[in-house]
Order: sequence, then structure tokens, then C-alpha cells
Amino acid sequence: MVKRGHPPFGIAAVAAAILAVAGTVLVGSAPGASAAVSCDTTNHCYAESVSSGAANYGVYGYVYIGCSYMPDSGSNFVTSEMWDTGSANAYWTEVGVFSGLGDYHSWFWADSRPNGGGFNLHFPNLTAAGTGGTYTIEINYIGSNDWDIYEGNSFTDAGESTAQPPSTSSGTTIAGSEYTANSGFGMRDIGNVAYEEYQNTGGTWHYVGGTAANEDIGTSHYVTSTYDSGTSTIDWTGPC
Amino acid sequence: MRHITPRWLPRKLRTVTFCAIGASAVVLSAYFATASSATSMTAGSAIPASAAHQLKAAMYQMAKASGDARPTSIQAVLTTRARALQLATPGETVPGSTGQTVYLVVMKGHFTLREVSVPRGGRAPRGHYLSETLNPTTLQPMDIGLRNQASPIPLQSLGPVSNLTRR
Repeated sequence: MVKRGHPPFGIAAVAAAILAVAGTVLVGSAPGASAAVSCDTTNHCYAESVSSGAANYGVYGYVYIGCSYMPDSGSNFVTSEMWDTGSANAYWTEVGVFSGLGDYHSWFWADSRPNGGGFNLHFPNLTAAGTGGTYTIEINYIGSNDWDIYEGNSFTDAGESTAQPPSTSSGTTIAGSEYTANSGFGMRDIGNVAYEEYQNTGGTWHYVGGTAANEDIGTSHYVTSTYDSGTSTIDWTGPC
Repeated sequence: MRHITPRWLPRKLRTVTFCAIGASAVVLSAYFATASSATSMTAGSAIPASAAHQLKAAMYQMAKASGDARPTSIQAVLTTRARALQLATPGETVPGSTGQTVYLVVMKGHFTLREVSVPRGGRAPRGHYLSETLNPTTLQPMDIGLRNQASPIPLQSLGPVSNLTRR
């Protein structure tokens, strides 16, 4: 087991919280971005860190919920989460907090298994996350194509994904926020995932460190992210 | 190897109540608005006609949002969540589901789920058999499975089947 240091929880997150209390609305866009394509259910937008490398046998991190809310329009959502994906996004598992479609800060996990297992989504029997809380989340390969999911307000067993072979060639650790509504819709989204780690095929956990970089995806994205390689932390700031 | 959570992990003591107040009010009102008049329903029993009517409306909304407003069939049973998962998301488990009563609804059609989270660059899930478990009181979705093949487990093996398909 890797010896771990105290997570200092980034300065950027503190700044984000201050902005949230002040009710500040930040609206940004990529340089040269066009407003032609929206953030919607067809074109999901993301503020996240991405670390691609050797095969993953799990991901781990501390997700902070600064603001996470989506008006219930019947179609939109926002998440704070981590993904563990295999090569070419063929197989993937995700874990985190979901708001929208009548849910508010609901814990969820999902997977995609193109070997006939299809797409699967679960809302486990867990108390909703609180605003301002930091929670531990984990996806862990346990062998025989099975993966354990841990999440919730007290880091509990949330279920098991099955029949999902781990990639033997490459893997990607992703952490951040996904959202489907445009600026002005009423979405709120500030948070971070701190001390992101991945597990190698030998069962050793590593911080993603300098292997990760932030990505703000979506032509009309307006949640902006920063990544700190020193603490393996992705911070994102949107309206609140 | 499972990750061991450090005992020293601090909880952030940040108060960001600004966002939570309005959101909580919206969620609570939505909860009570969608709560059905469901009485104590037992897994394996028939779905009461009044509940089936409400469920039918909800599932047609779901079908439309999933890209097929006129699915070939919609069928439902009242069962435990654990048994429902065997059909809806085969092999996957959720703790505490054994004693939990849910509606299991299976729809056949041509579905695309755009309102679910996928990694960047990932395609919206597509398939012909959309299975969903719902809380019988709130009708909130609890689990969703989408695949191209029908489950080998017959729905009627879980209880009396309600046919919710519009004629």
C-alpha cells in the first residue's frame, strides 16, 4: 500500500467556495469558441482532468461538492465524478454524484459493457451528499472481470460491476463534472476531485500527478477547470 | 487490492448554504408532487390498476425521452430490487436490494439514452430492451439497463405482469 500524505485540499477549492458564497456567476468560453453548439443532452459538456496511460485496475479520489444543482426540466443533469475507462472508451465505469431529473446530490454509478452487457446505471440506497461535503469514491478491480464500487457519505460498498474485462493495453483516469445545460439555465456547479489515483495492474496505487491535464469540453462550455499536478487535484468553477 | 481510506482524512468544514436552500425547496416539492398514492405493495403481487395507470404515463414519458415515443411493448411487475437487477442489469448487484420492493418495467423499442452520464467522447447508449426499476412511491428511477438482447429470464417469473402498452 502506498504511503500517503495529508491531503491539503487545494487553495483553488477554497477560492471556489468563496465565490459560491458570494453567489458569483462565472461564465467562460474557450478562446475562439462559437455559440453555435449548445451544452445539451446531445452535446454533453465537461470540465475535467484526463490521465491516459497504462492499463487501469481502478481509480480513487476525494470529491468535493461545492455546488451541484440542475433545475428539473425533465432532461438535464450535472455530475461530480470519476471514470475509469479502457482503451477507446469501449468499456468504462463511473462513480459520483448526480443532480437533475428530480435527483439532487444522488450517489450513482454506471458502466458500459459492449460485450452484450449494454449500459447499466444504479442509484444505490445511500443518503444524498451534502453541499460543502468531501467524499471518497473508488472503483476497484477485484479479478474475474468484476469491479467493486465504493461511494456515499461514509465510503460504503455501493455495488459490483461484472463481466467487464479490464483493458490490458491502456486505461484512462478521468475526474470532473459533466453537464447538459447552457449558461443561464439555472445549473450550479462548483467542485473538485482531490488526490486522484489510479491502480496499476500490479495492485499498486499511484497519484495521477503530471500524467493528467485539464480539459474543458464543449463548444459552449462555461464551467472552467484548473488542474494542480502537485496534489493531483482538478477544480472546476461554474455558476453557483 | 482495495484502497484503504486514511483515518486522518479531514472533512472540509465549508458552509456553502447559498446554493442549497433553493435547491432543497425544489427537490422537496418535486418529491411530494410525484409521490403516488401507493399503499404498501408486496413483491410478487399484482400492480394495482390505479398505480398501473400512473406508471404507464411515466413510462411513456421515459420512452419518448429515450427516443421512441411508441415502443413495441411496455410490461411491468412488482418485485424485489435484487430480483429485478438479475433481469435488468444481469450480474450486477446493489447492497440492500434483497428486501426492497420496486416496479420493474421492461420496454421493447429503439432507444437512445442521451440523459445519462458517459465519458467524454463516449456515445449515447443505444439498445432495444430498456429495463428500469422504480421506487413504487415516488416513481424515481433506481436502476436502468439497456441492451440489444432480451433477458433470458421471463418477466412473468417475477410476478403477475401488467401490460402497459397502448393499444
